[in-house]
Amino acid sequence: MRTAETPVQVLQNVIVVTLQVDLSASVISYLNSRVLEVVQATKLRWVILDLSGMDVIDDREFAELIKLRDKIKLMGATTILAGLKPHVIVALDTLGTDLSDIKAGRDLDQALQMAGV
Amino acid sequence: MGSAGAKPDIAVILAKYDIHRSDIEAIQSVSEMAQARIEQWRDTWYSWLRAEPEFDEFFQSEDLLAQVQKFSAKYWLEFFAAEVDESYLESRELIGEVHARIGLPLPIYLAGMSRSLTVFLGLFKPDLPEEKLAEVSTSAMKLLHLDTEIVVQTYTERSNRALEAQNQLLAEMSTPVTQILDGVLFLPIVGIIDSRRARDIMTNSLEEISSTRATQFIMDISGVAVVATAVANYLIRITKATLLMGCSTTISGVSPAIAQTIVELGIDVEGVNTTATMQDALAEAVRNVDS
Repeated sequence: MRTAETPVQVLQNVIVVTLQVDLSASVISYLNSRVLEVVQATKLRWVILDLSGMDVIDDREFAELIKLRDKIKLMGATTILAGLKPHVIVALDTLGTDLSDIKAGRDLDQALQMAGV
Repeated sequence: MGSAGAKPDIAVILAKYDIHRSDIEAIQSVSEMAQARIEQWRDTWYSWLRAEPEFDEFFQSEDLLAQVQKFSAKYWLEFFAAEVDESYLESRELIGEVHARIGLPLPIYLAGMSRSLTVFLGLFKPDLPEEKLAEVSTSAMKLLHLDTEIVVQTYTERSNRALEAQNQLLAEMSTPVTQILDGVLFLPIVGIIDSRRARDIMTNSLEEISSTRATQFIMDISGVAVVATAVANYLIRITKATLLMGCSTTISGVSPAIAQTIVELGIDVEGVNTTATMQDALAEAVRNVDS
């Protein structure tokens, strides 16, 4: 289990997931089950994925995050990405990733504001 | 070879121009003769140069002219001494550097060199047997070509460097993202946008958004006449990219032609904020800041 590396915590009625490691298959599967469990248990409506600790996100990893967002949506909660770095965005765009329809905040602070905190 | 940094291998260079010991000796054999006729050469050659249109432009000042005459005499004495070593090559590089710096066109330089040698050979003619003159002129021609290569290379390197510096300056000037209000960034785009510039715009805007923590970004393209389809696509992608940083983008000054390009591309314009004029975009930004 990788609970230490990817903490899922509840902060002022918002579920905040802090990502700081490469999104390997095991991290992804942990994330998927853990985050959805917390959404179900807490019945909270907002999930923030804090990516400010990630210097590199490739298109595959990003696609996994979008899938996670879609799953969270099916459970009635909204996901906000926070702390994406400029060069990460440029790299994703260059790789041809579709960046439409993504809720995002510059940093955790702005994301929390968007979640109404 | 011959580039400013790397040490040129003299044997390799000489072999490239088919210059042998015998050539060097042939040139050296007329060295004294050349020295004795340097004044005559100078008079003949400068009377030719004076008649060229470039003369007035580049050699107007008498001081400069005197210096040029001194250096070119030195150049030819070195040439006939034919000691092709590192310092010889360096002095040729320096000559290229000097001429390139004053912006003398290469053709007039090359014409001048070729003509100078002809003048010298003409001056040797009365005092040399025909066979010997032919030998000297062949050898001198080879060495002159070697000299010319070095000079041309220096010219090219210098102009490449200048071009690179200019490109960089242009790239920096082409994306002047400025903060006009608290949290509002503004970028006027003027001229032609190609994919590379569009990419620069995206990178710089995102960096700027990150450092200023802006929440609104206005990209004014009223100064842009036409955009290629690929670039129109890029502009839309920029609006999506900035959203990932929590900053919404308004594209202002969309001309009818650009609007058509964007729609014909089949790009999903839902969620892309556009205004016809910069004024509208600014008014909107002010409203958003106030609220």
